This record gives sequence, structure tokens and C-alpha cells, in this order.
Amino acid sequence: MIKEFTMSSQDLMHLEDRYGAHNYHPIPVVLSRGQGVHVWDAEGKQYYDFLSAYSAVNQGHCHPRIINALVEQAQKLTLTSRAFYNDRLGRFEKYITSYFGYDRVLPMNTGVEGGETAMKLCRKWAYTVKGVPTNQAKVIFARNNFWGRTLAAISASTDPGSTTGFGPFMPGYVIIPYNDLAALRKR
Amino acid sequence: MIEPIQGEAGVVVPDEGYLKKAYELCKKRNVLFIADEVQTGLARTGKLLCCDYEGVKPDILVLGKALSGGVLPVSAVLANDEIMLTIHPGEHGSTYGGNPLACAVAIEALEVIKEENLAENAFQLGNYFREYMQHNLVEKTDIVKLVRGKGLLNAIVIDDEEEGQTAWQICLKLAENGLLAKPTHGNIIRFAPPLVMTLAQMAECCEIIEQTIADF
Repeated sequence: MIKEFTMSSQDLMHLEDRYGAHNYHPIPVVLSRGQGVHVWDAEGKQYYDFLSAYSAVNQGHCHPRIINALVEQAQKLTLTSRAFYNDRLGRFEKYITSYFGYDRVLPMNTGVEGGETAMKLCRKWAYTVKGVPTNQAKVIFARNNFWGRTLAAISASTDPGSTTGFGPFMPGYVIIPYNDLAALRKR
Repeated sequence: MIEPIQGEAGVVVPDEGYLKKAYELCKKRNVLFIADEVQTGLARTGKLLCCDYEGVKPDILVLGKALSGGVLPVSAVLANDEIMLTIHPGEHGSTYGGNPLACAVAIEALEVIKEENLAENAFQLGNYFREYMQHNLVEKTDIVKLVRGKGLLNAIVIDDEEEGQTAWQICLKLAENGLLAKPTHGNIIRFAPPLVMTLAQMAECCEIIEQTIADF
């Protein structure tokens, strides 16, 4: 058991360095608390957070209403899988589709799974509605796109840091320059 | 599939009209327009969706990140019947996708965005931030070449090579001065605070950034 009160930021960074995979290069700050626009490190120093976890914390850290919803639901039911219905999903589906004005929603977990789902929907639509010949669907991406780290996502990447050493890659992509309508028109 | 602003590429904002014309081109050729609004959506860029700036309604909309307000991983893909109903039972899914905890949290996270007018706040504070950076850094120093962004998704471009160290060094100094930001390349620093910031806080932050960069 690690005694939390004895750990300095230096100690905690050492733990990550020693026991974690080296797939990130963080700013050397160890955060232990967040509220609204602020975060605090292990020594209690306060910071403004100008990353917001890559825009995941738009509502501010530990928003009281969101945390309250989390805690209340966590005490009732957290996971059923989709093998059964649950009493929250339908409500959420109705809420979010009317919020954004779409017929339907498909919920996933991470953003990259959302991207994968969008691509699968797009391909299925291409084959079953548009009439594209089997396995001939193409998805067009812009150069320098970033949508995650799965094999489908890095197959669309033009960043060698994301792709080198991870091939072979998924076919069916077309890469064009961003902000270039002429390039899109040619496709 | 397109990001309305390329985030990881360094907050690259396309020309006005690009999304609209790209969308129209897709429609003309019977091609689906997929918007990856995982980072740009949910009020970040000063509208509920970044595509709203050009009145574009994507055929498929991908959301994530702030859909849970930073509490758990929750993403969602939205589309109309013609597209969504092409997938049948057993063909796609996820054990945790649509779990009750995520659903409860996501509804609340979306409510907060609306009730606290986060899109409008991001729009106003973003204008303040870019004007401040333009006036006090881009025009008055040699080290900051450019500020760009929409709403509270912004970046400054440092006069250095893409593989340079200046942006990293500036971020270390910013941390010392009580503000956390991260370079996206060797020469670009992204600034994207939570959207619940007040104008007074933003003014203080702009001063911290200005004073920190003045030492370089």
C-alpha cells in the first residue's frame, strides 16, 4: 500500500516513469485536485488550466451538478451492457437527439470509437444505400487530421510519429490538403 | 470526415466558407459529410458546434470529450434514419457504450452547457483573448508570430522551428507562473481553458501569459 501523504510530486513522477509505459511526455506537474478553471498540484500550488484535458473539461473541473449526477447514478446502477435495456439510455437518447436535431444516436465511450463508428456507418451506408461495390468504399480525410490512436485512426494519419512502426495500415482512405476546395473537387 | 478546426495540427482554422462549400460539394456528389466535433463541439469554439458558424448540419456528427464534462469517457455518433438504420443488431457496439452512469452524466453535462451559456461565454472570452494576444504579443514582440482560433480554442505560433524547444520552455515557465498549457508542436502553444472562466480571470491569465513570454 502506497502512503499517499508521503509522496511528493517528484516521487509521483518517478513512479510513472518507473512503472508506466513511456507513451507520453507530460509537463512536469502532478495534479491532485481540480475545481472550475483551477487545478492544484501535490504540493498545493494553484494553476489555471489552459488545456482542459484537450477540451474534455469545458464545464470546468468537478462541476458540482455533473458530479452530483455521477454520484447519484453510481449508487443506483452503473453498467448493464446492451444485452438488456436500462432505465437511463432511452432518456439520454431522446435528450441528445432533440438537443442536436438528429433522428438517432449511437453511444460509445471514447472519441476515437466515435470516429470508428462514423466510418463504419459511412461504409455501411455506401454499400447498402448508395450502391458502392463491396469493399470499394473510400473515406476522405484532410492532411494533419488527428482523431485518435487506433489502427483505423492512425491509418488516416499523416504524422510519422503516429504511424512509424505500427503498419500495416487500413486501406480505403484518401488524404487531401485541409482548407483546399479544389483538392476536394478533384475527388 | 473533417475537423471544423484542426486541433492537434495546431488549431488550424480553415477559411470562412470552406466547410459550407465542402458540405455542398459532398451533397452534389452523394457523399456523406462527417464532422469530427470531438474537440471543437460542445461550446468550445463559441457556438454549440463549430459547424454552426457556417450553418452546416453534418450527415454524421461525432461528439466526445466534454460530453461527460471530464468525468468519464462518453462519446456519441448522431445521424438520421437513412444512415443510422443501416446498422443492425449484432453488427456494432460496445459493452460500456450507453451505460446508465454515462447517460446520467452526459445529460447533466449537456444541461450545464445550455444553462450556463457556455457557448456565448466562450465566444466573448475568445474574442478578448485573441485581441489581447494580437495587440500585446503579436504586434509588440518578435517571438509570437500569430494568434488564431475560435471561441476558447486558440493557439499562438512562436517564432521557432517546428522541432524547436521554445514553446516547451515557455510552457514550463507558464507552469511556474501558475498557468498550465501544452505545446502542440515545437512552435505552437494551445490555450483552451474551461468555458466557465470569468472575464476577470481571463484578464489575469492574459497578463500571466504576456509577462511570461516577455522573458523570452
